[in-house]
Amino acid sequence: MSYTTRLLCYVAITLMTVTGCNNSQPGTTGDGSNNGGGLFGGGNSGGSAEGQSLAKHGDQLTSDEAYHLMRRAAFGATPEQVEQVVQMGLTAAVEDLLEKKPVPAEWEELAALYEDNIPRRWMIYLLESPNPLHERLAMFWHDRFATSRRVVSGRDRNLAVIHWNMIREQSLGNYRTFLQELTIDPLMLIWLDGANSPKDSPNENYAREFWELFTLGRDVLYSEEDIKESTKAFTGITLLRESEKDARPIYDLLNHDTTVKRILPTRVEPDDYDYLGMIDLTLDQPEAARYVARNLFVSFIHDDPSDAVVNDLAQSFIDSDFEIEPMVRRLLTSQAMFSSDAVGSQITSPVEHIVGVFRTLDMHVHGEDSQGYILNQLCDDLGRAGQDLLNPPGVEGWTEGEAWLEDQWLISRISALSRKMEFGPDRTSELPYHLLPPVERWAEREIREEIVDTVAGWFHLQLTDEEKEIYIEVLDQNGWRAFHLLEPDQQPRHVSELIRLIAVHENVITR
Amino acid sequence: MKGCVEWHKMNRRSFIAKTGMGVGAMALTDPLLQTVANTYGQSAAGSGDLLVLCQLNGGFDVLSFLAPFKNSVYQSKRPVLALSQDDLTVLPDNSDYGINNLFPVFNDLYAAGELAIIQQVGYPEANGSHFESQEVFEYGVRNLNGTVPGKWYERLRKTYFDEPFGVLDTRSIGDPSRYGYPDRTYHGAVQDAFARLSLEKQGTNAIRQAIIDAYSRINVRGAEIRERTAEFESTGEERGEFYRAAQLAAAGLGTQIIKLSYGGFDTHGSQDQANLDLFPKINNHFAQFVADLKAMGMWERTCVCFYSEFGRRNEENGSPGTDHGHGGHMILAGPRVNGGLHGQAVSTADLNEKSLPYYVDFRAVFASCIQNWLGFDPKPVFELNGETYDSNIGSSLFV
Repeated sequence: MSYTTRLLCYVAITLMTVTGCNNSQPGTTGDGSNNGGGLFGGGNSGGSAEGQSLAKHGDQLTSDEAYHLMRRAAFGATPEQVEQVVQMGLTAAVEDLLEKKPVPAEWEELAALYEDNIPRRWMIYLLESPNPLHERLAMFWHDRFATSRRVVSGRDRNLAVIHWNMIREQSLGNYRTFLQELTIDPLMLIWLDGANSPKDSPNENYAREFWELFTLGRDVLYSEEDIKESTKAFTGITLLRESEKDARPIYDLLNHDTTVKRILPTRVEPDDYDYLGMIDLTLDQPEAARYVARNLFVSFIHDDPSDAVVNDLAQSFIDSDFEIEPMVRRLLTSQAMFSSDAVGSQITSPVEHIVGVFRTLDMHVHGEDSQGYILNQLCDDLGRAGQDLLNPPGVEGWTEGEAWLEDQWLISRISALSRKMEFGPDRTSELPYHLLPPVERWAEREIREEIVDTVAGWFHLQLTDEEKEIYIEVLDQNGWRAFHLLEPDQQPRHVSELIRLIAVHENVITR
Repeated sequence: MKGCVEWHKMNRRSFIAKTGMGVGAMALTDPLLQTVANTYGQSAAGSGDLLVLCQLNGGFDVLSFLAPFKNSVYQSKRPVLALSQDDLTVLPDNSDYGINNLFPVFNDLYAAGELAIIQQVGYPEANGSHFESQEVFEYGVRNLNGTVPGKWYERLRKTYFDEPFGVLDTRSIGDPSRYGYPDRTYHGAVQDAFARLSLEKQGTNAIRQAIIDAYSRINVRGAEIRERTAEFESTGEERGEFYRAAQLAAAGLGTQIIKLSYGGFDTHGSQDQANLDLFPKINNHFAQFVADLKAMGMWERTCVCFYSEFGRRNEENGSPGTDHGHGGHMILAGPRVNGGLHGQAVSTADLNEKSLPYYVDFRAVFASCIQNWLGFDPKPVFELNGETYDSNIGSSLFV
């Protein structure tokens, strides 16, 4: 789709970015004892006291709890990383997750080779970045501020890279700054027509979604009349092209509506608002902080935070002048995070699921020559699984929860799990041998059960006897040939298929 | 090919025989086959005809489809986007309107009396959100409250024809040749394990159970969908959602409803350019579908229903595009629809509004499809949770 930029001869004033920096920490205290009520155990009884508690969880984590934390905050973790989290304790582990570390040059250079192919480029960071929590949050914001690369072509494809860098840069920063960047982000300006909204024929698209999707939620506070008024505040922004790789947002003053706007008239004084004023007046409404608080709680913990919990989080968010990091810290260390209401209550998205499994298996992408083809197939599978990154189905992003369970989408997840690169420090192909019982013992009869237990253990699954029996049948090929009697070169394939089947266990898809 | 009812029953019988034979001695005890046999036994008698639901996501600009091109308000509100007589084919029975020439197959069907356009359809208290409005169309109720058990066509299936293939969604099935567990072991060991796990297990909470249910669905339907669609040959080269719908229709699985969707209709900007790609795509994909079903002798028993979550504004914006509106048209295509214009013709008064109003409730159109095409009573599907709607259309949609 093409778009028109109104550069012409108007005076171009570069938009100023106001950076609000206020790093106050929320003062959460309160010792929660580790109330280890049956992780991965029974059904959801719906609404325990822990499930609504933001009080701090005990510092000592069990191995299952440490794995749960890593699945929610870092997609997944190897058995060794889980053990490290147990050793560190909750507070230190969360601080470690929040600390942004330099990405090794190997991955930066590899990722850069993919230029504007965001699914592949991002996949390298999702699999390899030492900052998985930052990537996890970038995925969260990408879904909330859903924007697609399908509206840009040719040289404009680079605008998708600028957008992608922006959301990854801002993912744990200041929400006000984030909204300011987002509103004038070139891809967003094209995607929601912000760059095509002159005062004489304003375009409502951005104004509507700014409230409905980005800041307040559907039908909260605003009327259709408010949307028409707020649209005026966003008028006059457009894009100036200066080079092949860049497009700079500018104010085209002649096309900005400078009249007085009556926006949310019962709450807000009429005034000549521009887009910065719109962001400020929106954040002044307590509903805005609550919207973010609820969304982040739901993303990290479970679907049903109480109003009290949401209000508590929202107030801290306002007090910190909209810093995202303190809220994330508080959520990850809360009792609610580890409550039986939370554990296992979420369906992972296809990307989160597959990235989580591969991180658990210690799988890595080394070099374009050997891995580029597999990376390509992996990203294609994930597209077929319903999640083509930076190409969401619509402005509202992906529909989550049970909507992920479209048959073909599940089937494509299974296909994605067959895209194997190299495992562990020895870069073995086919299997993570360093995590499995040594192959010298694969001719022993008992090895079958041990392999099944080992693989289940990576995912912290407690298998029933029936499940274990079925999985052993996979290794034994339905009783055609016992696994331990197979030729050594025949064995890996069956272990590999076993891992894949266990990786789509309903308790691995959920987290 | 003879009528679909006979064709449908024959396939059901051969289906059971075939799967039974395939598994040999296990057949009688295998709980999976029991499940299939039981569900197939429960089918209620309807017409056995096929209803295809084509959802146009984003808000279809119906004034770019059926244009009141002589109307001066239409022309003045859309200086860039209004269609002129050169852009359209005037309706043979109403010279005030014409169908966009980017939709030749719709023009042909209209001329043949096989296209019914129900004008200005919507629902009370229209919502301008894509998401909410799509939900209203998919669930068939205005007040969702999270208590409605499934989309309306799924509720219909559960009420009248609770079969695994009764309703197929092309998005969910995807490429039928890839449907099922992608096993790479010898002797189908993983496939069997997947089947046993999906049948013998219970999830420890509702969402885990939903995953197991999905696996069970994939398992029960997998082989049939792969095998029955393998032989399909299209009359053309298009490979969109309508191609998949034709594959599934050809599979002879007793399917009553095929759901598909196309996106890209949210044309806030550069609408004229966007439509140059979008409209021919829909037209060509659909034209091939019609040709495919005719080639298989199935068009006679088919009705395709096009709809969108809302129409767009009457006035264009400066982008040039159109923002979210309210009322839109629904389109029925098929040899036994009552061809022509239905509902309320777009008047000058309607065009003077910001958006087209609605005169016909969309549920009335779906209800007519259920009652007069599929042969079921729509009451239990749309009248739940105290919901009411005006079922009056003013004319019959089927002959």
